[in-house]
Amino acid sequence: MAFLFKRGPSAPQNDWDAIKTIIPAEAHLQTAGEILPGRRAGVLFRPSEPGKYPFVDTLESRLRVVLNEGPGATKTSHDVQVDEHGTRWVVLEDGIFQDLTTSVFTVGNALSIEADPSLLIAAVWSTHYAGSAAYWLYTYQRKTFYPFIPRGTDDRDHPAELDLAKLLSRQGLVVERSTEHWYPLWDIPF
Amino acid sequence: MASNSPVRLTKDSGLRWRMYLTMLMLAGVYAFSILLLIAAGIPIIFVVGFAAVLVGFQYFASDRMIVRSTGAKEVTQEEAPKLYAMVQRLAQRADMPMPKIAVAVMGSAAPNAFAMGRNPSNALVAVLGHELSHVKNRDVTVIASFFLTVASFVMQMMFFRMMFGGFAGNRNNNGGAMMMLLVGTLVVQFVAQLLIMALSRYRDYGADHSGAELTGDPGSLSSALEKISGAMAQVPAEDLRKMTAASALAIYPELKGHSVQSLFSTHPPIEDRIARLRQMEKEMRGLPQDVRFEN
Repeated sequence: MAFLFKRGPSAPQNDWDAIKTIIPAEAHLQTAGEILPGRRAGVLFRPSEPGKYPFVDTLESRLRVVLNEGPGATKTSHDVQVDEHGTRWVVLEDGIFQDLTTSVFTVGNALSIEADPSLLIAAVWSTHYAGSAAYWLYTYQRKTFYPFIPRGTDDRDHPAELDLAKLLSRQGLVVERSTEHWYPLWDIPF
Repeated sequence: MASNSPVRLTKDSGLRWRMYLTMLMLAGVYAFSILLLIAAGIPIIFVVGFAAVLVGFQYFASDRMIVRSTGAKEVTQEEAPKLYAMVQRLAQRADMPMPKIAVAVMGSAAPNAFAMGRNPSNALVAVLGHELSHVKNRDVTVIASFFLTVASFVMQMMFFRMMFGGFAGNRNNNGGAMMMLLVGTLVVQFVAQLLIMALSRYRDYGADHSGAELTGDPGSLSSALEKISGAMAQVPAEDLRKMTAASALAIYPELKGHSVQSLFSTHPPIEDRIARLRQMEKEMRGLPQDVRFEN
């Protein structure tokens, strides 16, 4: 029962190929009334040793440049946070979902080029599904999405996750077919 | 459940037609089986007598046999007041007499209704609603299994006849004809088995639907099915942050489709049942209905 979803498009070659699929999927599901729009997303990554990557050490100011300057800048607002697990977040907020998603990719891409791709853990989008706060998780290692719907602090709404995953899969999102990889992500800061 | 007043159960017309079609095909198979019996020279009176005994036995004794085979123990209202109250309430809503309740102690580690979900009470009511719906919808297992037993009986007779010679007054039959009869009976038994299993699967969809209407809570049944099937049992508990890059990339063998396996299953695929219940929940809550499970 681990593989519930029809095989979707072939595995994406890079993060943008995978991540961009969330834009039409979100638009369709929102129009269909399945979800409520989310304005926030985040990029989760592991900390690096101080001094090893200047980009990471000066992330706040560097991202201000990356997101706000140059042609096509999304001007998405951002905030760098350290969570209680010691991992770091770049929390992004934008009323335009396409810009929000572009910024997610831009941040991940910058960290990947200026630091180390293996630091990247996941990109997370917030939404509302079936009356609950829900998240779409994209794991950089596997280049796939899966839903995460926390229920309280340590429980998840599995049926709703399965339901949402099927919806996403049908919209062309590259959904992680093996539920063994649907790791929870607690204490998301948005 | 809002009240104890009887619920008018709706019928799934598509499902009913499929059930009728399957039953019609089953009847055709059995008609063929009877022709085989006649061709084999078995007296019709013998078949009718045998059938009467078998049906009578199954009708009057099958419930006790099932209870005995599962090691279940009938419980009274005093022994299991909560369970009794749940079943009583559901029976009232289904407008049916209060059934007997038997409880079996499960020896396996597999999840059961008592051990499921954040609200075990809801899950238990949901499962009870499903089972009561089977009773309410009038199970056809008795008839189905009777014909299977007859087919099996015919096959055995054919076998013994081949081994030890023909029926009296039928010496002209040759071995080839008997072999054809034997193969024919085998085919009947096989096809009947497939059709009965298909019927059983349709009945389960029906019981899910009626059960969810009885409880007014399709979500609890889909959640219970989730837990029973272990669909989400493989979802890891460890936080994503604790995964190393290497382990996150671990490759698991892919399971292939289960179309052949599903032919021999008496229950429909759990994910299909869950999808239908989730759809039903949406309909009850007035949410968009454009989501259908594709299989």
